[in-house]
Amino acid sequence: MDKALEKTKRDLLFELNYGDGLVWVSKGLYFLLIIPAIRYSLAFFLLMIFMLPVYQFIRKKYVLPRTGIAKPRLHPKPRNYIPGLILGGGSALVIALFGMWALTNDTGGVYTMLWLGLVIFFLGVNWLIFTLNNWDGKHPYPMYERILVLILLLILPLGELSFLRLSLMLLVYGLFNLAMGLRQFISFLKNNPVLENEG
Amino acid sequence: MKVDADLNLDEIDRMIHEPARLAIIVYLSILREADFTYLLHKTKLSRGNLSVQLTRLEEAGYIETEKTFVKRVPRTMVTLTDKGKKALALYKDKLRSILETTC
Repeated sequence: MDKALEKTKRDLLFELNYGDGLVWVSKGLYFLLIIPAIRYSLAFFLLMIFMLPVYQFIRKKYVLPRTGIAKPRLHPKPRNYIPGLILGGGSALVIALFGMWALTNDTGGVYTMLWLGLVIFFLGVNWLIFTLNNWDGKHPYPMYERILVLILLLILPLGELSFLRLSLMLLVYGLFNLAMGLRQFISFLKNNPVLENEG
Repeated sequence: MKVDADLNLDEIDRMIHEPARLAIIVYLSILREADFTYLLHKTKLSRGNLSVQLTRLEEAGYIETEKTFVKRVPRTMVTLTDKGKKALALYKDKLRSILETTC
């Protein structure tokens, strides 16, 4: 009985936070923004500022009339913050030291590229740990996404590192998230009719 | 009824035992608060039925409702009270003990 209730809770929280697919769409767009931001102008990152209001507008216009409003209970504090703290501090140290070393010793730009990959990887891992540490719901990352990330990370150290190579990986991951999110959003719209007002 | 007497089914809280009300209470136990539309979406009850079940739960003191207007549209927010939380915990224990006795 407790297991069934726990499953209900996990499913409900997942549906509430990720059921509409908009998180994947946003994540896909974030990753797709990285390439033009690095290649052309960091000003591209400013587009991220507009993504939150757009996300909230779409949610208000298309999601809430279908699902209504529900607020999950809040955790008073993260349950286990020590691994996150160690990893966060450790990765910041590694990134800083490696960055400093790469800036003075890198002639071909290869180590700078590796450093950039490292920054993205550690940011991703830290974000993942932080999210899961505050999360009671179903695991938000489907198996095929984890497989894709693993493949991309295994490909990264193979061969010569270049901007094109890193861009392609970010493009694949960004497009993957965008496609997955849009598919989920369309399915959400189809399966959940707009409910009338309370009247 | 003899079966009831043996199993102490009378001790089960009938207010929660009804499936529609049980669903409402379980969803609210996970959430801080939810509005009428959300409960409509989750329970798939008709508007009339949901309204009746919410009234009964509110009369029993298991939930609290707060009616507001957002841009002239009525919105009813529902929360589970402490009494409701205790009743759900007691219901789980009672049901578990009955099932453990018989299964």
